[in-house]
Amino acid sequence: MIPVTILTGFLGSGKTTLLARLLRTPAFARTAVIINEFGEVGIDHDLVAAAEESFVRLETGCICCMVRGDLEATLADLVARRISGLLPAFERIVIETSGLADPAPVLNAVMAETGRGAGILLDSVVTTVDAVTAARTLAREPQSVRQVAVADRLILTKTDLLPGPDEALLARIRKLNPGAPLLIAINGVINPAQLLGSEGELDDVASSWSGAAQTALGMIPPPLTPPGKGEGDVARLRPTQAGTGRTTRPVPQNMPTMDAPLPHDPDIGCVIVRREQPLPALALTLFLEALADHAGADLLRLKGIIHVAEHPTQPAAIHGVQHIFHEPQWLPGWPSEDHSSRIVLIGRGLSQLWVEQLLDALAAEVIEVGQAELG
Amino acid sequence: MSNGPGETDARVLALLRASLAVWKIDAALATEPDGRWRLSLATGGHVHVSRAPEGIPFRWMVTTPAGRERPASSVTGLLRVLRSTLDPDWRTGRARIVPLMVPATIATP
Repeated sequence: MIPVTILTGFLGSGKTTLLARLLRTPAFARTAVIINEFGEVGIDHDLVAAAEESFVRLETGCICCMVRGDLEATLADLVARRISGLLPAFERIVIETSGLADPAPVLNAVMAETGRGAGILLDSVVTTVDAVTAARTLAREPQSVRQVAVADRLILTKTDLLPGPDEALLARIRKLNPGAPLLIAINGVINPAQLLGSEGELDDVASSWSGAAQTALGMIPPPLTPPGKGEGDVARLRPTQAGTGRTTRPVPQNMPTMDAPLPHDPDIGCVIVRREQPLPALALTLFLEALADHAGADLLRLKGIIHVAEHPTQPAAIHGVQHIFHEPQWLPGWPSEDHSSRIVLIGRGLSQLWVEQLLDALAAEVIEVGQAELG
Repeated sequence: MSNGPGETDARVLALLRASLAVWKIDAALATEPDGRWRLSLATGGHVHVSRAPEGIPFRWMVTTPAGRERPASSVTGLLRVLRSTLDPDWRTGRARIVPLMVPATIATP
């Protein structure tokens, strides 16, 4: 049986960063990856850079409500090609859902394939939780609540951006999912054994949040209250996987049934900008400033690969989550022949026209100024 | 890529039109004979946008309905000044963007 890990978590919570780091470790070296992105132009696959032959993108929509059938077919196809020798003998499959995905239908898809004898087995649901933005996200985004609730393992990310533990957030997470070990990743680094091992093994690596800040590795142990006791809003909804002896995970009682994905916020949309012409570095900085000014909290996620005019050999990767914009990072090289700049924004009420005209106006201005300075 | 002021002006004008729509500000935007852009507000009054005069370290100038001149050093600054002029209750985001540091170019032999 090939174990399947579902990697979920809200937009910008660090799924892709975590996956990219894991795939560089020996434990995940022989891994097939399925990435689902929200939007027509995928970027995550370029950021992850796994082996191309065992890499599948599902770009036609959100995995939970539009392409479940595609996912089932993809899983079956992956296994079939592995058996026939068309693919390397991968030992694990990781499905990275889109940040807006309800993980429950994805779980259903994996279990449906398991039931059909496809040779796969659901190993675990890993949910990344952004320590900086999660409190607000959990309050506003029902999908994020469900992503936490169904997790077998919770990975708290970006704790290094906070001065200390957010006790209210930890309590909220614990209430949503009392049983899942809560691990800490710093800069996407986590011990792969913590994701692959049994829960009994996980109990041995407990450490505090502050300890993790020093060691870049750790786990916050669950509270002493057993799951299901003292948690009035908790019930066990997730079905036991037939024949595997797996236990169920508690999720809040007031959630819809698993077969009915939570509807996406209809105001949440995706803006995609692609430019063949390299962008001046200053125009990129001014573009991000203007987005921060005017999109504000409505911008849930920004990510992009930028062809910077002053440094064409290496693309710059940009990331933003709500009001936090991370420092752009230079990738070691172009991951494909496509050297265009691609920017994806996910948020409420974003205007494709405004974003494109903003970028074009800034590029025109910066180029004009540069030419004027050259005389 | 070459570019002149006319190209920039056309793009900025288009951006201003789109911005008014996104900001839900009811105003008509027109070009005056002297080249300045005039926003005629539905609530009354006019705001003018123009290139900043030579010799000052700014690129754009917004003239408020009260006649006050507010300069901006980039299109991003222009949007910030213009929106705060049109909507005094508007506040910018708190995020500050670190300029992208371009690695030193490796000299080829």
